[in-house]
Amino acid sequence: MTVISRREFVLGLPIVGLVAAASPRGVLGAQAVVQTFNGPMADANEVYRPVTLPPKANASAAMTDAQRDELEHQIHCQCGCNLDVYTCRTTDFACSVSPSMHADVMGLVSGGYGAKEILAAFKAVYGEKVLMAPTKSGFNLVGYTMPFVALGAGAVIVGGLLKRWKSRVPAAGVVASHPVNATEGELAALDEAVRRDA
Amino acid sequence: MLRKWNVTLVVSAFLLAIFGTFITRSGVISSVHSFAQSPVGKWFAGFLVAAIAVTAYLVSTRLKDLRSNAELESMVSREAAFLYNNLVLVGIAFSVLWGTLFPIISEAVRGNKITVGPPFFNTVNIPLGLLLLLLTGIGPLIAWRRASVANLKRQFLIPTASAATAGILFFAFGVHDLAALLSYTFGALVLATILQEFYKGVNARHRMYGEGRLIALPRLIARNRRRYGGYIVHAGVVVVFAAFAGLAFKREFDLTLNAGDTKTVTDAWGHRWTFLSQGISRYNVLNREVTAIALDVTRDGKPAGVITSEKRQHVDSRGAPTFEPSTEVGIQGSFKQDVYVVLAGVRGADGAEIRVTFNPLVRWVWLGGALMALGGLVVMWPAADRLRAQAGYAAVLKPQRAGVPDLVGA
Repeated sequence: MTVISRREFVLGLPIVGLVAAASPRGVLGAQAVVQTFNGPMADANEVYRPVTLPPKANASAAMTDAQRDELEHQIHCQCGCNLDVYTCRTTDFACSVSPSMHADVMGLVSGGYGAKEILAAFKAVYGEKVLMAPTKSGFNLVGYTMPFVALGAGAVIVGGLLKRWKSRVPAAGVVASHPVNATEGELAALDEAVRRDA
Repeated sequence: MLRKWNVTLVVSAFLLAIFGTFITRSGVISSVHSFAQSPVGKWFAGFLVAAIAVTAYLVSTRLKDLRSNAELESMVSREAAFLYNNLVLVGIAFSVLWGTLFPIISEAVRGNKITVGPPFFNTVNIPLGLLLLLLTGIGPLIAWRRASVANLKRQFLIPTASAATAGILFFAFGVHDLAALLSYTFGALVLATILQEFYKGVNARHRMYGEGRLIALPRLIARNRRRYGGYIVHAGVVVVFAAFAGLAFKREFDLTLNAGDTKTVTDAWGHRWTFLSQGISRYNVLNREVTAIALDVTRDGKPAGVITSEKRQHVDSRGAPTFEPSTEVGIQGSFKQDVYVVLAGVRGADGAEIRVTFNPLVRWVWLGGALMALGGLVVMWPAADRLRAQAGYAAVLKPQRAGVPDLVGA
């Protein structure tokens, strides 16, 4: 087995540092600058579709601003940014889609619609892709449950393996002792040496 | 033990990294990293296939060398705990892979597109992450080979009591988000476990060799770097989880400010922050057009500096825009929380829409990462040369009787 000495190890560390320093962008720099797109942003005229419903009778907004923001966190902006409407409209200077979608949300809220109804209205217009996460129904349940099913299956396999390995362990007392061709003195010297160096 | 499994994990990690690059760069899934206009996807696909073929050949032709006679005395042992931990880590990796691919699978099965965003990954991965944290605390408490009931009682008593106390205290102090509460409770279990292990180790050296405890601690770590370096890594994991759980206390505010306007908001710690707009400034610098806002900030009435946020439009030599505008977030960081200020839009000459976000414990993610790196360094630190020079005990085994060869110097 190749063993690395302390000298080699310590001398090797600066090389790792140099490689990291030579990387094109510093980690901190990457954190500070948020580049939201790297391709052409979708034009609102191409991807935006109005989501409107007639106001309910005697309608009044049944949602606080915080609840509306939370709702917008569940709606996927269609400009191509992979962000939700709230995040896109409050961080992306140039997006013309999220403000329009936000205006639709505002209109529905003031029309007296609740969160579930608003999400359903957006889904009816854009399809399920407008939701930040798939609904927990139908085939989507496979998506939500599969990681846990896989973990369970893995647990069964690991359990089986452990049982097999356990069965390989010889029972206590079965191990045969081998005759040792040495005197008591030699054994005592060996024992003493082992203890001293342990 | 687990040689084949280890090699499989190493190979899988490499292939999944290539696969992840392939599906994002090729445009198979929607990503900000995609080069949809270039043929790079085909090259990555080819490289992926070649890498799978080569690694499959290399591993399959070396299966004999990887064979090990795995034995396990008990399902409740440190060795078994390693496997359980391993299983959860692989489960988390699988859930990320599955969530990434599920839109493609769903479209193939049902024909309609879906989005799998952060809510899905939080739903699936938070329970798995908490399970991992719990196992991180339990593993070191279980004895090697076989744990007895008495051993388990003795080992678990203090860490469990510490975790329960921490859980009650955090709840009493207002941590009512279940995931965050469990995270801090399990974190306390892991920390108590680590401290208990260090305490026992240091005390053992103190008793056996009469060393002072300050001397015994570094010697304890040096004597068993893998074990105690591992504990330092565990401490780093706790710090990172504590930081993640801090997200439960994130606060966001949308403010509209004209020049000279002030707005006051309250963060999760109860501090009152006041933002005074110094107005919008527009200027050109180097290769970009900048729109910026500067805010005078006070915290609980005391000056807390100036935070600026910018929108940058980079331009080419003819002044034409090169990329979409980017955002320069104003960040004021501390170990308590990071305050982010984003210039979201401009209204008229001096009106600004800004988004203020209080992100608690962000720096602790870096601290946890540094601790994990430190632990890794301790684990990897090579043994001293003088220890490796000991080639065995032959040098002290002088023959005691005639006829036995002298091994000294062999």
